Amino acid sequence: MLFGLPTIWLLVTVVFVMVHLAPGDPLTFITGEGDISSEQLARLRAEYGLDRPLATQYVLYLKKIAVGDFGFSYRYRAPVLELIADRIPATLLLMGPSLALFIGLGMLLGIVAARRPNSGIDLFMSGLALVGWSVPVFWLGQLLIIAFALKLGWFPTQGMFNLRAPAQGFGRALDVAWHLVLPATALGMRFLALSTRMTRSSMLQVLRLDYMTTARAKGLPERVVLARHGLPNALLPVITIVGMNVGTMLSGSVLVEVVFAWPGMGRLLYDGVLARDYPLIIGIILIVSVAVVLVNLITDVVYAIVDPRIRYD
Amino acid sequence: MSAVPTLLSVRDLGVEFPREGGGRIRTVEGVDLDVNAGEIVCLVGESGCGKSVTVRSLFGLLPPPGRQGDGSITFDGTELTTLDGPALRALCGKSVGYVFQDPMTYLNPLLTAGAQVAEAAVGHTKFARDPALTARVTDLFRELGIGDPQRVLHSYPHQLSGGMRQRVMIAMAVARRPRLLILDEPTTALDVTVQAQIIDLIRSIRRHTGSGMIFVTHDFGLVAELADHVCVMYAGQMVEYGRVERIFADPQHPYTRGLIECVIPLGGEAALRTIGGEVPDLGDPPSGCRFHPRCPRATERCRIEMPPPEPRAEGFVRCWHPGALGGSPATAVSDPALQRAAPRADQEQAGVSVSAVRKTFPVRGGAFGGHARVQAVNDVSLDIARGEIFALVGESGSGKSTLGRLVVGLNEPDAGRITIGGHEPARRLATPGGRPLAQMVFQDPYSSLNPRKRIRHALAQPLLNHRICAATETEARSSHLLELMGLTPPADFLDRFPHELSGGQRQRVVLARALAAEPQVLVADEPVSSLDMSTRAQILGLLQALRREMGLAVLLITHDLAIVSKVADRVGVMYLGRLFEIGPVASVIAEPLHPYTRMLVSAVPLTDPGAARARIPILMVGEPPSPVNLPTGCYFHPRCPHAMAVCATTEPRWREVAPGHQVACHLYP
Amino acid sequence: MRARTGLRLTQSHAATMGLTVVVVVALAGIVGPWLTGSPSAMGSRTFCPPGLECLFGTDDLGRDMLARVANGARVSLLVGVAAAAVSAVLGVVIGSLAGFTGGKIDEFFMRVAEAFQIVPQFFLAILVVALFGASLTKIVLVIAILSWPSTARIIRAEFLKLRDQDFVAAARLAGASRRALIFSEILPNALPPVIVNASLQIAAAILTEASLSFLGLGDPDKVSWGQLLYLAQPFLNQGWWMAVFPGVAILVTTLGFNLLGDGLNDILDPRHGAHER
Repeated sequence: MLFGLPTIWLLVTVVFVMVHLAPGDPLTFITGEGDISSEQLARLRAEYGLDRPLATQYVLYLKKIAVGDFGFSYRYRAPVLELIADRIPATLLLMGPSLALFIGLGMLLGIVAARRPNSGIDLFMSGLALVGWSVPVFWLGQLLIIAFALKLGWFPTQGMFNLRAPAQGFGRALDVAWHLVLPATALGMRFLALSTRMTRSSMLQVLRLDYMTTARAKGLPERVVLARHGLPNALLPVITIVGMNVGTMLSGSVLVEVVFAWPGMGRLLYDGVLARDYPLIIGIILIVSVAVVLVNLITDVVYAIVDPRIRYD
Repeated sequence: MSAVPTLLSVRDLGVEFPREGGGRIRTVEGVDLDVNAGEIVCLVGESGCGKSVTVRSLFGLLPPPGRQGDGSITFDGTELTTLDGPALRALCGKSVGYVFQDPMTYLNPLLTAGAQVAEAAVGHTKFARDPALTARVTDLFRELGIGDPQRVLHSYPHQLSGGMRQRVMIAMAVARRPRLLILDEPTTALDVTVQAQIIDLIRSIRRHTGSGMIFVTHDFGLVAELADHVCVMYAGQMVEYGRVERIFADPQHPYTRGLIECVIPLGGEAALRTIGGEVPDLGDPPSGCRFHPRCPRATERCRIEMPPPEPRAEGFVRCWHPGALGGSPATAVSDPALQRAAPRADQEQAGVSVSAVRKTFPVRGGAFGGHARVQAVNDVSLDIARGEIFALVGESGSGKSTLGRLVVGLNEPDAGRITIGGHEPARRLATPGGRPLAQMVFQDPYSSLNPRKRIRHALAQPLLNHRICAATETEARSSHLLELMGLTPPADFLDRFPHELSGGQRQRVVLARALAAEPQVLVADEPVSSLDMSTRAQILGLLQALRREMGLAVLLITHDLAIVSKVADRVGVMYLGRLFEIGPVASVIAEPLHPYTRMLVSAVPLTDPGAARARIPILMVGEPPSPVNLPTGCYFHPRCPHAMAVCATTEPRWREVAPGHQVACHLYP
Repeated sequence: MRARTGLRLTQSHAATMGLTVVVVVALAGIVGPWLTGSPSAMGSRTFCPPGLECLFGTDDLGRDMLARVANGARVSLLVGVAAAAVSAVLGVVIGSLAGFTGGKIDEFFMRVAEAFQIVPQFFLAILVVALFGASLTKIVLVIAILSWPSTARIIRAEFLKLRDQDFVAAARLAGASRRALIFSEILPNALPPVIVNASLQIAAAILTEASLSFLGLGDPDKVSWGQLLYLAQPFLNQGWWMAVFPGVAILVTTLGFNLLGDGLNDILDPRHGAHER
């Protein structure tokens, strides 16, 4: 479990190195291009040890991260951590249901496709999955907006809620859900594609394995053979793949949030980039990286628990 | 006609597969056999003859795209070809038990052994809450000789030894007391002593249950041990079926006759025999009777039409010219090419001296945190004289392959010394530009040649790197070497890729490559285990000739004592990294001294049905120990039927009991 | 049993289709810009919908979308192929060394690779471009540096598998030097999966570049497809064609490379008969 720490440390160091290699006064990476008085600048320079040797700055940097100080955004006048904490719920709301729904759906489609390889159904599903994997997620978002929001008017074009809708309770939930449909679908396409492809290929491999023949020889009906012997073995690698792709899915959410003006962490990052709010950019990236490493660790642990070959060795 | 009702009757069974360019091809055709209750039918043939495909197609277990063609299968009165998928499968589950070859891949790695056997018995895996079911499975384990049923019940396949896993598979197959048991090469993946245990188990099952059995194998020795009836297959066709005594005494089909003559018995003076030609590819078989290209009796009719089954003494034969007359396709192995090779008078051939050699390997990963070490070779000493074939015999985990690699120089010993003519092979190999003292022939002909390089490259590489000849001469040299190995015309082979050659041809290329570097010693690690029986003798003949003509010292590593008895001069027996017996082949095999050697000799299937039934096997007890945690004293004592108190505490010392014949055992103080 | 001889590209429908698409797109990128006119010439006909007059339509400044899409092909393909190439070279060198040598070197490189792989690549790319500025070269380098681990892993896995094969030991006994072992004996056998991966990486690189450009982090001088989509975002209502055509171009190109990669994978799978597409 502690293997995650070196990775996190490496990441944090890489960010530090990059910030210091970048052209320009490092102070701008701490303040952004906001409006600050010269006394504040001097104070900050001392606080971050910018006149001290690099090693000392590095240690100060690490110390700050250890206590959760990821920087201060002068544009928003708030600590970065606080800003992120504010926006995370929206991103989770977007990613969570989308992830669960579309990965589950993908698994089903993958199983169906694997049952009759090279049939019409299989080719259709595999083709769909391939397109879903190849389409740029933000463009898909744009298409959905054009088709379903602008032309057909079924869904709103932007945002998470309507200012004129109720601010609490069931009405609010409904309003948010209505706004959620298009962005979640755009994001979900990629999950769906990945999950379908992985499940299909894994199932195909497993179906050919020898112990499937043994199960059939026992007289078990094909349904049972698939469900009891095929699926668990096939889904095992899918867990790892999904875990490994959390990073890509987060990237997708950034793009979707930008297209749909969804007030999540990704949108915050984008705003930060536009405004050259460096502490915000750096802070978000650090936090996201750490989070992804943790998710990967959890996936590894889950896999080790589920596979007895690793559990009992 | 026998009064016992026929359990399974197969007539003219065929199996089809889609052909590469379109259409279908009958890979298996014309299979006829009968199985009676309480009797064993051995389905025998070389690898790739379609035996596995045949037995799987009987009860609908063929993976698509294979499909059963015409023919009739009558089981217990029911015509199976009239049943649909689900009905056939239900019948299979209820009345038939299948045991497959490799229990590691045929068991679900995610379920415990108990769960899988329970599933075979009642259709679901939940035995934990059901004491009656748990008891039923535990009793079954005990019946099958599993000493610690509770532990096995809750173990996962990867935690069990090979023999144990196979017992679990057998338990699954017999759980519902099936009328018919089908065993597809159940012992091929197991060590020889474990195979003996499983064969003994199968015999006892036959005695106690009265099930009929089909036992698929490529080993004629097993046929003699087990069969009541024999069905011989070649290239997807059945060629002969009959009672075992008759098949051995009076084989009607030329292939059966030839094959029996090719079998290498333990001991005996008969010359090595081989059937010329190669086993055809089932994807593109010859027309008519598929054996006709290799058959001395073949006529035009044989090429055009597959013969129908002709009844012969309670059996069938499919041949246009059956009978004893007409000759056998098997010929004695001759090595004319090598006799022309000039003896190497200029170079002093050296022998091998191995002295107190030890080698350990770290264990990768696992629960030991990477600090445990496996003692692969432990204090081994032996000498091989020039012009001698020394056989090193042992089962998996004995360290024989490791020792082979040490002699060749691929690894360096941790302690002790290996010298060839006064030089150390590992050191020589590590010196840039140094010519290796020894060369190696590997077991698997498919992985010992680089699949992306032509044969030309494989032979030129040693010639150029070791500066044996100039670049302009490599073609001539390589051709000469190929000719020596019987691959003529060499120009045909030089530009081919390995996958275009058969297993036997590849192995000859590998030999040629080994000789190209002009070694003083040749290490052959299981050189014929992967080859068809009808072609093994060719390679063995070449080894013998090499030893004779070139004065090479040969270290032959194998588990097959029959080959040893035929080809080797001296033999050493290894177990868990130690040598326990060493001596002239005739002496060791005729009078094995060490209990382990006795078990090994006893485990070699005899090729005479009468003698096989009469013999009482000496079986090994217990489970193989973990190589990381070796027993104290004599390594073999936990599994030895003659173990005494002293065996657990003291290592035995070497004693010479007969001339040149030494043993390390407390039975000979 | 004798194995089948050789590998033919035509054995997989997916591979043939993918290759066709890729070739067409490449041709469009090379030849297209000469045929379609200037991508930056502004005109008076703004927001002309696609039809006989303006084939792909025109944008808010009257520029011809067809020309812009054709020119964008050059940029996007260049980035995709260059990034995948650099990544492949890096990955092969590092992966071969790690896989062949083993031990501490292997562990070190794999930890580094793991770190790079786990980290959300897109975020790091954003960081780099935000800090160092956007130029085509920098973008190519960033993508390459972030994607070499997957190639390295594949090569390393192949090396681990092949290193213990008998033919390698035989080559040692035949006097092959260490260099010859790695590059002449093992590497040719290890390359096929890398080639498959390269195709998939080109697709991924094109998508990443498009995403970066969409966020405004692309090279402002070079008009790539992603850039076009970025410029289209405010005008989704007035000119839907500004977003549709560049997006279709991206989709078709990535689809082509993905198909090619999948098809090659199918060919290389020893049991490819079962799931041939």
